[in-house]
Amino acid sequence: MSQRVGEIIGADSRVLTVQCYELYGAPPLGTFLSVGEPPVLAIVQCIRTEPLDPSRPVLARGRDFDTLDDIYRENPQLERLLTTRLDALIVGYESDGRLVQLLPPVPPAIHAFVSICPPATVARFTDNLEFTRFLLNSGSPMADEVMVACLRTVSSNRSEGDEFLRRAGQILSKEMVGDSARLSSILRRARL
Amino acid sequence: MTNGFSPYGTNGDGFLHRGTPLGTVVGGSLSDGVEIRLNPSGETVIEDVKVGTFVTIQGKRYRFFGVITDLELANSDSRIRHSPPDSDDPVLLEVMSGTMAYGVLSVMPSLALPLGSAGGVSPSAAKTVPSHFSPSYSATDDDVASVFGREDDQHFWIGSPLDMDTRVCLDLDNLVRRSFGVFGKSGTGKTFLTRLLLVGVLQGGTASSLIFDMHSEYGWSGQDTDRNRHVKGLKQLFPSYVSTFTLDAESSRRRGSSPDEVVSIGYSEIEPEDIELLKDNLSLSDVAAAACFNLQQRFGGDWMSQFLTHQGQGIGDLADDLGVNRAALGALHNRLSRFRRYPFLEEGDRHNAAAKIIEHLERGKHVVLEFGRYGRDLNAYILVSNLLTRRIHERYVALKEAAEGGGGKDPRPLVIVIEEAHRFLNPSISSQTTFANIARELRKYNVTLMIIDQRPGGIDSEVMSQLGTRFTCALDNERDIDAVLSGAAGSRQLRGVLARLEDKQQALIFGHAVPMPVVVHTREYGTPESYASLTRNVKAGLPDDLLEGETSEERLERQIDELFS
Repeated sequence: MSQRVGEIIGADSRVLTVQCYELYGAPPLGTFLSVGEPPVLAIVQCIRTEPLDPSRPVLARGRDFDTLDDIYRENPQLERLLTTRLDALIVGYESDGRLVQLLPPVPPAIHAFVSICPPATVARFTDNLEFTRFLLNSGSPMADEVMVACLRTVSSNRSEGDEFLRRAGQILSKEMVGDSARLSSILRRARL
Repeated sequence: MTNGFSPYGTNGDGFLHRGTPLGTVVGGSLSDGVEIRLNPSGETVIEDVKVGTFVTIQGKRYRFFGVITDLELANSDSRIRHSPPDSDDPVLLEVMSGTMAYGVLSVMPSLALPLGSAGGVSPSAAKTVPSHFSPSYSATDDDVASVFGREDDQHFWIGSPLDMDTRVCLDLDNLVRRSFGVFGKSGTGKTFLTRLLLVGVLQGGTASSLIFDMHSEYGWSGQDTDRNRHVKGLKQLFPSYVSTFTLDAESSRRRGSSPDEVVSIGYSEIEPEDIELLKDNLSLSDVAAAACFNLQQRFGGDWMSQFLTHQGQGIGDLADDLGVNRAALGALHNRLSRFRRYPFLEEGDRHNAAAKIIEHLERGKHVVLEFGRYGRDLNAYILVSNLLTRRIHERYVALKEAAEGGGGKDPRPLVIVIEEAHRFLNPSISSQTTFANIARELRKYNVTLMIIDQRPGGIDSEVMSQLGTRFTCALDNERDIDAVLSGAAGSRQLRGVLARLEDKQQALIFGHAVPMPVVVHTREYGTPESYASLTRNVKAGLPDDLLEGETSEERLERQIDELFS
């Protein structure tokens, strides 16, 4: 049973907004998520923790405390006033038992459960690296960082090591045909 | 696939086999050739590809044949030039190589074969270019054979394409139909290539050859200076087909050669035009050279002998008498007196060396005229070769005209081989030589030239433009390269190929005898095996009904026996 981390609170065909069950309980940047059933696959591309009520801004409370833990211990209401949300970029879905790297015909329903994608599914999905184009062309200012994070996560879970990065690099180089510096930066950081 | 010709050939088990995949067509034009982007993840890296290599391109309608004329390291991002990836990052280097940084081959498609053509259809000149993304392959042996033909009586194996063992063959009929040239700087294998070509002409059997053998290296034997050995000449390989003439019997004897004829030339056979041709070499002024015509008017055919009998004051008196400048005539006398040193020049007019040569040629023989020690004397070489050629040419013109008038059969085609051609086919004097006439007249009178030279830049461009086939070993000088390539289709692209020929045993061949330009590693000459393979196919070239190894006297005896048996 994969680990459930939250549920959908906003969705369009491209990006899902997920509210996490636990404050600070978001999976790391670049993690593959499995949403609903049959699963839609998405990659964590932005995590933020914010007040549940946007009209009640967060105030600084640490002047008289030594540690961060002290602040939360002395202000237990914070657990109720704050929440962790994340945006996830849809990169594919399962159809008739096959994983396809396309956008789903319709986005997942609101309140659909969001889990961390099982490693076996990630491995199967990342045999094909066409999905990297979704990340590169997401329009997000953090697209490259998400790409680096995703490649690092996936390659660490695959036995091929550098060979995976070579394949990914060749796909990316076709997309970034005129931008060697960007490609170089992504690949270098993916192996740090 | 159709039942007929397979554009790929099969490997016997039904699978199509092509050469190694190289890349795909990404651009180009008919005039500049096409650009082939090297496959990004192929096994071929750019260092495996050499300029001059033979390749095929599989278009949608045609299969194209061409040679690689240039190689380029291209990139999709010019910043790579300024900030290349770290050399200690193999993953990044590997990713960028073949994708952002890639190789581009320039290929000149010369021939095209319609796909699905029936077997036996030869490729024709390419009048279009392959479509975008057509795949390209290194050529296979079958490709080379389909373009250059298989070795037979009329196809002479001259060498192999670069990095291949298959045979490139010359079309001998096309070769001798027009004049052709062998060029290359000193020591690049011109002489060996010429020997091979002469064997080819002999094998073709449609033409005789007359070789003005300046350094006595084609007739009996020659030197392989690189391997420090002697190699056999034509006479040793084909004793029945080759007659050797010599100007220097002593030298021939020393070299173990037994010439068929010793050539003597009468002074009266020398004409004023012959001297005019030597004007520069003899350091004669225009006035002095022109005085020969006055002398001929005065003394007739024997003008030279008679002029040389004058001495001292007599020359001045003669000058006054002829109305020419005394100093000029004195200079002319001085220079012509040097001819007295040539023992092959004799008094009288009954020598008729040209007639003897013609007689051998008409019998289908190939004649090598060895110059012996006079080969080192350019004046002797120019004088004798021009003089004999003029007479032979006159005879051929007469025979040809008689044949056209129904008065005899066509003279057997003749290839005249001359060396150091730039010395007497240069623009200032070429118009006065018979050789230039022969080059211009093409085969109208069944006489063509084979020009061997290391400075083609010095040859009159009009003569160069008439050469049907050009064989070019390595050349350094820009002017020489320009001259060799002048008028050739795709000369700009071939320039790169020519400039990168290796110094030994490599030649670029283009023109009538080959369907497309090709760089060959020339065939071996000088080993017992090479002699055996060179002499194997020569039956087709038997003059008249001569059997192999049989002399004309032996033939006569055999024919008499046959008649009365």
